[in-house]
Amino acid sequence: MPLDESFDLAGCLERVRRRDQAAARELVDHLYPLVIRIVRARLPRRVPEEDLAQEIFLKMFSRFEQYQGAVPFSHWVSRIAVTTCIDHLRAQQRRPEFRMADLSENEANMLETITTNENAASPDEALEAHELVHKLLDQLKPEDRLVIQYLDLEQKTIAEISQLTGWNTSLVKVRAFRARRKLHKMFEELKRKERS
Amino acid sequence: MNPENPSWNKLVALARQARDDRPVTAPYGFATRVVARAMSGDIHSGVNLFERWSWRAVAIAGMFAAVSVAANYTSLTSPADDEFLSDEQAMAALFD
Repeated sequence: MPLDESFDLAGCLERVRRRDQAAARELVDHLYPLVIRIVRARLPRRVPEEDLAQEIFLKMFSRFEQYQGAVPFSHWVSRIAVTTCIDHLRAQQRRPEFRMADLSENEANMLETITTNENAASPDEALEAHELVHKLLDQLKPEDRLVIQYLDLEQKTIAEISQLTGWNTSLVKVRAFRARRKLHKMFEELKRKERS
Repeated sequence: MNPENPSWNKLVALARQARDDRPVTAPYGFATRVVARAMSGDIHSGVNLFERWSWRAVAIAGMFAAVSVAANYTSLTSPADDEFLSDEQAMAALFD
């Protein structure tokens, strides 16, 4: 769902610059859907989504004077959101190795279906697939994970990712390549363990 | 160029079908809370305090550096030959 296009963002920003609290509240309400989607897609474990959203908005206000208008305001905010999530993901310790024991029974069955059967799994299993994808993504570096989420789950283009993150397109491609290689290795390892 | 991974492709295709029905509107009072904190100045205070103390620390460190250079100016500029022991003198001092 895109942001409300009828919202007078330029006027609102101008009022926020003059420290108008009502305008600041309108701005938060307007940007909340954008921020909460970013947070939910990359939510680090044990961090409540509302706390993280609040941290992002507080950063937005504290850096407000730095916004020069070079990129759309929503992109500028999404970069703050992305970097905040990455900082939290970096802070949480990754498991050294992904194990079958980390998966629920449903997720393990799903993995088996995906890796061994030619037929696709049933659409009813979408939620389990979603959980499983996130568990696998947890094994990647936060920046690599973000690129794969944008590319494969949200189906964004390299150019869009570059705009949202502020990374140049070559860096996005390198991160995607590195992440895919790691995922490939992970799948091979899981298949091997399953056979043995 | 990307490593081909049909299993991953199947898995994400299925994961994309998962619907997220959670509301995306801000909870009641969220904007008020955030704006009250942001505008009260306690967001700036942490950053500004750090910044202010950092500049003070740099100034004090610079002052100490200048004072120590001034205090030791003569020893820094004078020839240092006589301050070091020769190899023989050092060995003699060690075994005396």
